[in-house]
Amino acid sequence: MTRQDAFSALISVRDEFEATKFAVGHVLRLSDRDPSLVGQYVTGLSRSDLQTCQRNLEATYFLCLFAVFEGTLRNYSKFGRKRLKEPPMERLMDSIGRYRHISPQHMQNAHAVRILRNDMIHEHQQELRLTFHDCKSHLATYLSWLPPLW
Amino acid sequence: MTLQSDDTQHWQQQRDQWLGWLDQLVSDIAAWSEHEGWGVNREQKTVTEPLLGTYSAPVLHVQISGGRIQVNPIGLHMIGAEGRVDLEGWPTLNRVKLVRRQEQWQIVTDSNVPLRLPWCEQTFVQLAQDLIGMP
Repeated sequence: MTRQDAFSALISVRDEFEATKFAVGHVLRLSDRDPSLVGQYVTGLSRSDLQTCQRNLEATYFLCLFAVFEGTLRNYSKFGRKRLKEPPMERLMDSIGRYRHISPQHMQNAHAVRILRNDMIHEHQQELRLTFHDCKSHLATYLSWLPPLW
Repeated sequence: MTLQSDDTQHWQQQRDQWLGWLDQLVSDIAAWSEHEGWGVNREQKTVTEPLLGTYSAPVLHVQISGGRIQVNPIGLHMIGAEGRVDLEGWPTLNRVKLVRRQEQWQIVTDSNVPLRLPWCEQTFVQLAQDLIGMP
């Protein structure tokens, strides 16, 4: 795997998020003018389902973003460092951080994103304390410390 | 002359005009970057659009202390714009889109909010530093 592969995967999530945000917003605007629009195409789907989708979109794509980040670190640990164990993310991030001499500020930022992800998964927190784009930048900056190829 | 060849000529003219805008944009950014002492590297990428076909467009990489900026043309036919070029920072992946509207470049953030600033050297230099998260 290359570091660029990881960046490309983050970019894909970002672009998909933007496209979906536009598409859902557009359909909602159209359905403002024609409330029967949604039901014409999908039986059982209501406008409020779309509103829920729009409300949760950022959180949904944030989780995709973090999954890409976690997948990259686990791939690097397994193939780049030949580690057989799969530690929890906190330990994995610290271990790679020490090994690659990642700056303390960049470590702290990436951990803030990890904690947010845990709160969403385990504490059912709905609100993002950081924006999707902040999270993307923090995770990408952490990944920039990985070698170009492993 | 057939309708088909009229269309071909029309899209070819549009493509040439688009490539002219891109060349001017990339030349401006390269000059502004060199003025700041930032290294620039120009290359070509292949773009395919349904109406314009496949063509080669310039891409610019700007090296700044602490990161880099990629000036990446996306295409001419975009929703709500006549042409789009992305300015993307590395490693932050922060991005703004330069979209062409009313014959000038406008800056739009990823949140789809337009930055109502004139597209000029001062704006680019500040934007470049902000995109890579320079304090």
